Amino acid sequence: MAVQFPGQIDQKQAGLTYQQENKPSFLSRLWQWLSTAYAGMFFFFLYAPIIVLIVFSFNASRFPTNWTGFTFDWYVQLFSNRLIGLALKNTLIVAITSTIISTIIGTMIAVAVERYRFRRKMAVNALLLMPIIIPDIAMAIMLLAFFVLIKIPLGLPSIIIAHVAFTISFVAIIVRARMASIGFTLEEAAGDLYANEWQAFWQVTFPLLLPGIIGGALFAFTLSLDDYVITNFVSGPSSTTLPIRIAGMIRRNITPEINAVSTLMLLVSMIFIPISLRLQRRANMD
Amino acid sequence: MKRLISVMFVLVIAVSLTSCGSSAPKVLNFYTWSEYIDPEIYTMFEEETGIQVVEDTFGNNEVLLAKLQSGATGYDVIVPSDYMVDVLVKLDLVGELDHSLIPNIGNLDPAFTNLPFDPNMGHCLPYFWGATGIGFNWNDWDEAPNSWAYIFDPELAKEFEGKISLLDDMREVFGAALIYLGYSPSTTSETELAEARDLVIGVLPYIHTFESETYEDFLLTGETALAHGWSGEFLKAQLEDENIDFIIPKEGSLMWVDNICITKDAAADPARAKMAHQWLDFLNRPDIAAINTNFVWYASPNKAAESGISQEILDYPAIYPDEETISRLTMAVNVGDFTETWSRMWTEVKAGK
Amino acid sequence: MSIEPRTKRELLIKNILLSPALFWLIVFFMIPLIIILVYSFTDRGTYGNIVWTFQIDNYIRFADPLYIGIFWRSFLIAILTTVICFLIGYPLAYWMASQPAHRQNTLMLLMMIPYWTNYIVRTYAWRTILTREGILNQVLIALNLVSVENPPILLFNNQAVIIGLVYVSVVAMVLPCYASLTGLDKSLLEAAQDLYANRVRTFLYVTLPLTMPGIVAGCILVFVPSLGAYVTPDMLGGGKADMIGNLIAQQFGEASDWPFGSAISVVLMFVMLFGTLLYFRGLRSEETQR
Repeated sequence: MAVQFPGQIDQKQAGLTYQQENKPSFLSRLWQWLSTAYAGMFFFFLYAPIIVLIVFSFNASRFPTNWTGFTFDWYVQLFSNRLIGLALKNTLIVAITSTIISTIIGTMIAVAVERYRFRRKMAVNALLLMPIIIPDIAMAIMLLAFFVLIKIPLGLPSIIIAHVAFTISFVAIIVRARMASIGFTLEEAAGDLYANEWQAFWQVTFPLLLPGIIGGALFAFTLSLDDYVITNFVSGPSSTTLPIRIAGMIRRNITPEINAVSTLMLLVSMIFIPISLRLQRRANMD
Repeated sequence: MKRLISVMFVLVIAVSLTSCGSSAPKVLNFYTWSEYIDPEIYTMFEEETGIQVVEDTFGNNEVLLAKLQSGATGYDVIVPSDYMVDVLVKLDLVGELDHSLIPNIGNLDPAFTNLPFDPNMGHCLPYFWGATGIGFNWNDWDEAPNSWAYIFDPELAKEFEGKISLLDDMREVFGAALIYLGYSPSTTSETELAEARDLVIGVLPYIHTFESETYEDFLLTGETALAHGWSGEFLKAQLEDENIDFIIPKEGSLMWVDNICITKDAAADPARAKMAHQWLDFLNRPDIAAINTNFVWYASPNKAAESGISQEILDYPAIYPDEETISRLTMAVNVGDFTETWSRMWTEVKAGK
Repeated sequence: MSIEPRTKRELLIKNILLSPALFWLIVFFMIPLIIILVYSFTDRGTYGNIVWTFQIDNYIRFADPLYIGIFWRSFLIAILTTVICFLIGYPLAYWMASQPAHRQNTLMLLMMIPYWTNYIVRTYAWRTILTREGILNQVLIALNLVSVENPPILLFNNQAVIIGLVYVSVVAMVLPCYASLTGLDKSLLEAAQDLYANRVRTFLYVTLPLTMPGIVAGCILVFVPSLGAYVTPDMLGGGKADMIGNLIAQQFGEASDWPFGSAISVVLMFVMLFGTLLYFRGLRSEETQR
């Protein structure tokens, strides 16, 4: 008799369902209705602010408290906003550069830690863990103090350095998880087939790792794109990124331009996510 | 799969190359208060000189100081308030002005050219001056709220529970409280400051928020009914809703002179210094200064600009106060070592339960 | 299954693989950490510069009820946020895990999309919703639940901050719980259903304990950012609900007191480290129990 995850509806095994689920009692139907309603409320809660944001990006009035008419004006204003364009460019430069660096060296250390036994491995593990449990603000001021003391000028390079510093650990974790699920049996088998380890790594292990590497890269990219606190503290005057520009707009000049930017960002991510998911899936299949 | 990766890789390199290769136009980094200049002026300046002004804003002087102290060396021109100029000069963070590069300097009113914290405009030029006060909506009042008591007296503040906003600025908030209590707004007496602190904590339950930049927007939407803030902001808001008004309370208030200065590192670099001086000069051209004043609704120290300033602004007592009101205004002074005590008491207010 | 590097070549490879990341973390993480640690023992000059005298004054100053109070309140807010996220998120993860497989992927996608909007923007959205004249109040007034003259003040207080934090963190709770739930070994559930009569007991004594790793991971992912929160209390707190993150930021901002700010950060990091150590200790003892 096949086991059901309590409450799971398994359509494939209809004929073999657990006795109790065969006759949907009133109680279990009520339970299903309630839980679907709960899920509905949850997603409503999740999406409500987003919808409000999008709707009010078309509001004729400057204030998000009353609706006075439909307009595209804010989007038009947005496109001629030179400062936003600059911020976007900066954000992309930082995100792409830091993701590349972070993914490469993060994968490298993940492989090293998973593969080899060595003394002080615990110390390395601890070091890798720390950026994750340190709050943003602490990391931000640490880096600020460091750059000021060592007299590194604050600008795009300092932001990139900071972003790599806090994303390495995340890349490493994701890649390590992937490595753990692969195991080494395949590589051992490859060792029998290929002349040297180098080939074994590139032809077998690396392709297998790819979904993890891509996952890590995407995560690092998102973290960098979104970062506000750390970037705010280590940026200089001409290195404003999009989150900083948006936060500035919120702080001093409330117009639906902010909503317009957010809506556009949402659209971009809605296009981006399925692509990235497909990338990961294809990497998995190859 | 591999092809996809290589395509992405190429794209990435392409993006980074295009951004590196672009030639940088001449850029001036201007660090100032929000909405403190007519954006048209940026365009006009760029048309005339080819220099692009990039604006960054701050909400209180301490943030400006912190940014400069932490080595942000990119700012060329900054706009600190009076007492902060004192600090910046002592910390050697502002450069010396070369008056020969600023022909329009003669347009400035002599009353503002020799301020105690910056003799003979050695480092800064006066930019705008004004007073802090209370913004309100005529819908809520028959007579203007002519006293700080409406904010600091619990009996009166209770009327507007949850509808009062204060500036997020310890010099301003404690300054107002101290003036209300009859003390100096730059006191170095711990007892006096403690009294001010307790006064503010006493009305905290009625305070909606601490806000230095969008307080007039809250007034406009009805989020607040009384706003502690700066004259020009309310008068700009008046253009959107004629019921918004501003008053300098009868007990007196803080008067401030904002200054426009060149940072030390900008002064040290000939190219940046030249651009910065050009900017300062441009702003003091009578026509430009008039345009600016007509936009920000603050009082300009530029005498020559007066012919271009709208009569409405010149007649407005809250902007160009009469003798009597001016006598009630005090300028803030740097409190030196005592800043730490101020800071601590401010934290007590903000955390105040 | 890790191996001991045997040949010189393997040793070289290992070191090459380790070095870049180690270098980066040591130079751009450990050293800044040490700098902050050192600063926490220095003094603040008249105009906010560092004075190199060794003193523990900053820590003594922090031990004041004012600052401990702020820390404690931040701690409570973070705990409350975590608990609420769990109460809201775990049931949803459970529900998702019991959906048919193909639907799960769609649900996952649906949940991630809002998450891909910048959190600053999402927090700002809450500000517009919770203001006195905002949507929520307008709806409540329309439904006659509150009076027009005196709508509830939902913004610029601790509650608003918690709402904001929960909103931004709940997905971080759902995902690990969901991962744990879908990874459940079905045979264990079968054994449970043979032994226990009803679903409630199965849940309490089997499902919940087995998914504990996911729950704990979720709790850490919610608690750590919430304790160090900076943007949310700033935007939704109106200056009245400042948390420890804001306090630290102020020391490096308007208060210009880097030594004090460093001391507060050190205390904060110690608390985080201590909590994480406890977690690992708990994990290890759980493993030895089995």
